[in-house]
Amino acid sequence: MSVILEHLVIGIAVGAVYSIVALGFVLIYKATGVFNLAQGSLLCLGAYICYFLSITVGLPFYVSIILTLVVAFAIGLLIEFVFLRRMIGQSHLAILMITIGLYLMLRGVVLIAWGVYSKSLPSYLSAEPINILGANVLPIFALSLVAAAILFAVFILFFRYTSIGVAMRATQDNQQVAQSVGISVKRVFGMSWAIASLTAAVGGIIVGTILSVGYSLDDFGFKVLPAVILGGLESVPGALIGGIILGVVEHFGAAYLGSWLIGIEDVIPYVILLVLLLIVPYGIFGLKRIERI
Amino acid sequence: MLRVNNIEVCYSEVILVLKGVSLDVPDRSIVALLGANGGGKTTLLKAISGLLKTEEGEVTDGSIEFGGKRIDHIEPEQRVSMGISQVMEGRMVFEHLTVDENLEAGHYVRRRESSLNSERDMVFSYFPRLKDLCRQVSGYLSGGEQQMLVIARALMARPKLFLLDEPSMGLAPIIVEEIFDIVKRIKEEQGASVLLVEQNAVAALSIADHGYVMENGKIVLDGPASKLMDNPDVKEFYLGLSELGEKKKYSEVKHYKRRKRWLV
Amino acid sequence: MHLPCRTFNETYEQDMAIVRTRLQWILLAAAIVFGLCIPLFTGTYMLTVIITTMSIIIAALGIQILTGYCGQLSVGHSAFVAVGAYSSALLVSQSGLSFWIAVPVAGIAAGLVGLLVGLTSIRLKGFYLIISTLAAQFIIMYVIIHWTSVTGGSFGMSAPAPKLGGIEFATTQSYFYIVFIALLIATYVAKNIVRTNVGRAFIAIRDNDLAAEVMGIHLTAYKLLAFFIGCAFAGIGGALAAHARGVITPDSYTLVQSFWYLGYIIIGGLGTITGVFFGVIFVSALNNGLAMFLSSLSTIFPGAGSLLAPLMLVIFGLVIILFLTFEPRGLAHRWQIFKAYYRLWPFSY
Ligand SMILES: Nc1ncnc2c1ncn2[C@@H]1O[C@H](COP(=O)(O)OP(=O)(O)OP(=O)(O)O)[C@@H](O)[C@H]1O
Ligand SMILES: [Mg+2]
Repeated sequence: MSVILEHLVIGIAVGAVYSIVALGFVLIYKATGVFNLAQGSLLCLGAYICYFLSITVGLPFYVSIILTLVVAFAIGLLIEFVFLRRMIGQSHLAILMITIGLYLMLRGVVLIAWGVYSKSLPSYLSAEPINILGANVLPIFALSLVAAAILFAVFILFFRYTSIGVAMRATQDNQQVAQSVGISVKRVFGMSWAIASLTAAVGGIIVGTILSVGYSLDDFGFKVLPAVILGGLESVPGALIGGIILGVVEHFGAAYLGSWLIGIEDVIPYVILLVLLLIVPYGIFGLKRIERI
Repeated sequence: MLRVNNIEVCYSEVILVLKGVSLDVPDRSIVALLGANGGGKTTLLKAISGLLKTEEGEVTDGSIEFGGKRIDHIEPEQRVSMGISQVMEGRMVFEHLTVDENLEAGHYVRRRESSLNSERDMVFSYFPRLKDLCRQVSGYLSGGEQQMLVIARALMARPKLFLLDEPSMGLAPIIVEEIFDIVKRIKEEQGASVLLVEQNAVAALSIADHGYVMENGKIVLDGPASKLMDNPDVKEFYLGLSELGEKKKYSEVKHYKRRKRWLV
Repeated sequence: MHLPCRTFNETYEQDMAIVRTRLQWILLAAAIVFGLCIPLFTGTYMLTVIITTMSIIIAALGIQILTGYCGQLSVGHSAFVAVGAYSSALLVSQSGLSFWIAVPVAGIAAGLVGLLVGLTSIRLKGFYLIISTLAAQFIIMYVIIHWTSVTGGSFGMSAPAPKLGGIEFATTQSYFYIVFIALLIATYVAKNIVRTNVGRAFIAIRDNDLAAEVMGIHLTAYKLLAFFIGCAFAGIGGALAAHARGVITPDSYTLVQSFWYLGYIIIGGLGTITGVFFGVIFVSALNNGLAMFLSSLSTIFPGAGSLLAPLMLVIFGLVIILFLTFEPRGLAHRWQIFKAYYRLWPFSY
């Protein structure tokens, strides 16, 4: 029983990381209509920046986390400004391919800067398991739960109570009308990328702690897609729930099938995804758009 | 205050919609812009507010001046902060946002001033009904309430020039009257100017100081509102009255006649 | 289309002709003769590069049909290439089947797997479809990597050189001719698919699937057909490349490779057959040029050679972005402009 509970808690914790990354993805999709295949690259970059600041530069870990978030935010703004600004109004598939170009570029940059061997972040947490609801799990999983909770809470508040947050939601509603009341759609797009990059960096730090910091962390962006699809592409609560379901299913799959199908946890999300796509093509919370010719 | 100088507007670089339109909106006045469907009224408003760009439209000739400055090449959000607010056609509320949040979005250009609450109270004094609805999701409001909300939202920016596009569309006459009264009050109390596009010519001309009639991308007639009211052509085509004072169907009017008279 | 002066299409046959004027015939013949002569004056290394490039073109023709013509965006193309490569290698080395049968069978196998993935396209489109091809990429490669007893896992397996009645096409030169002829056939087939009613149906689906359906195009059937054809080309290209290399490992069929295929047709120009040639050759030239540059650098900066792969990623990503931003119609469009200019020169009207 306690074993199952343990798996459940770890699954939820892993799922919380998925939710964080999925959140960034949904943000960009909702606000700008861009299906960002480079979300994982942002995560990977975030993890490496944290590694760079804490190990290479040698800053205290908590300082480097905060700096990482700042840098990630700036990188998001920069990417939007340099690569996506010109594409506003172009077809969604063309923009999607731009994000593919970004993915390739960022992977190249990471490889050039840090090489193929993975690095590890400083061990800022004890390796002693702690007890959550009767399950013994590593502290990092507790941390990821807390981080996800904080992030989602901050975002809910941000979008309710700040004028830029309200402006972003207004833009998601209708870009032209948002312009008519004086909201700069470009700034909203930039903000969306910046925030998505920031959430990705949070995810990157956590994943980098659980695994290690390597160039293939960028594949995490693809692993999150099932969560996003499950939740419906444009739903923030959907991202949360989708991420957690994904984490739990994946973890149980790894625990119970992993012994004779090695590495199965890496494809479980995709198998679920294919099945899902055939059953509920537009996600649980997704909208089916009415189309006209 | 606003001066439109002989502008030409093209969509997608080929569709010429406005062909040399000039128009003036003086300080503290209401100017009505009338005209048949597809005449280019909305296009003119979008050229002034800068929303053309999102529809691949462009001002290809002429100039637009606001308060003595040329504005035809600056971004729409800058024009809003200069004091031009467009209320778009079709009651475009932010459907998923509440009434309060819609108003907050309207206040966005002035977000650095801490005037949100006072402005909201000011707006509620014009539209008391919105006060009771302020926590509702605006997508579920009735048409009249939505129309009030979009005007209120534009008012939150304290514009010097209102561009109102068909505020009466699809509303009951009594609500139309209410809205027009408010527009007039806004002009008087806020000292703003209004460029009002309307199909409901009687109502529009009754509150307007000046009027323009637009057809096929050209201004074909203009004059003080009271004069326009008396103009036999306007009477015939927009007020639906012939010289004898009888009702007449638009389709019965011979086309060439209209053409000839207005294109003198 | 752009025809030379004083050439007009007066009949349907003329309109449909691939090669329209005598000059074009001569140029085509010259190109083929030139192609056949390539092994006579290139070294083995260069020839291997050319063979690889040609097999990539064959596979890229597939994604051009599927994505460029039919609009079904696939980000799992290299997995289908892998299916072809592994099937053919297995058939030849394990079942002892002849190369000549194994390669077409590998094409069909990849096509069938593609068909399976294409089933999701019946209900999905746009972004959702991308995800299903992405899932296919990961699942197929998972099976290949972990089915160690058959595929050799990450160590890979051997793909023997073909034999024809006792003659072994073991040399690079002789293998060149096989791939060259395969490329000619593949191009001819691809060109014929896209210019006939099947191709027009694909284009209709790409441009507006609802409208296409209303026009009476059987959406499901044509989408599945596009998947089958596209993936079959991938399979054949993959099989040919596999036997050229002799050994295949899963790491040549990653997601990045799939993106690479997409990049070829973006750079070359979506929805043109010539574009495929331009795209693949451009990137291959870029890659080899960079490799040479870096190896010459490595005498000064040791280790510069190891930068090749990541640097190529950066450049390739950047090139894709630049093309999408500034020349979305790709090199093929530039080529058209160049031809028109040349034809009218010196009278530029
Ligand atoms: N985005 C666009 N692209 C191309 N043509 C357009 C576009 N928007 C409007 N038009 C054309 O411009 C002309 C004028 O349109 P506009 O919307 O300005 O008319 P209007 O006077 O507002 O009509 P109504 O009274 O029906 O609102 C119409 O013929 C319309 O078809
Ligand atoms: Mg209009």
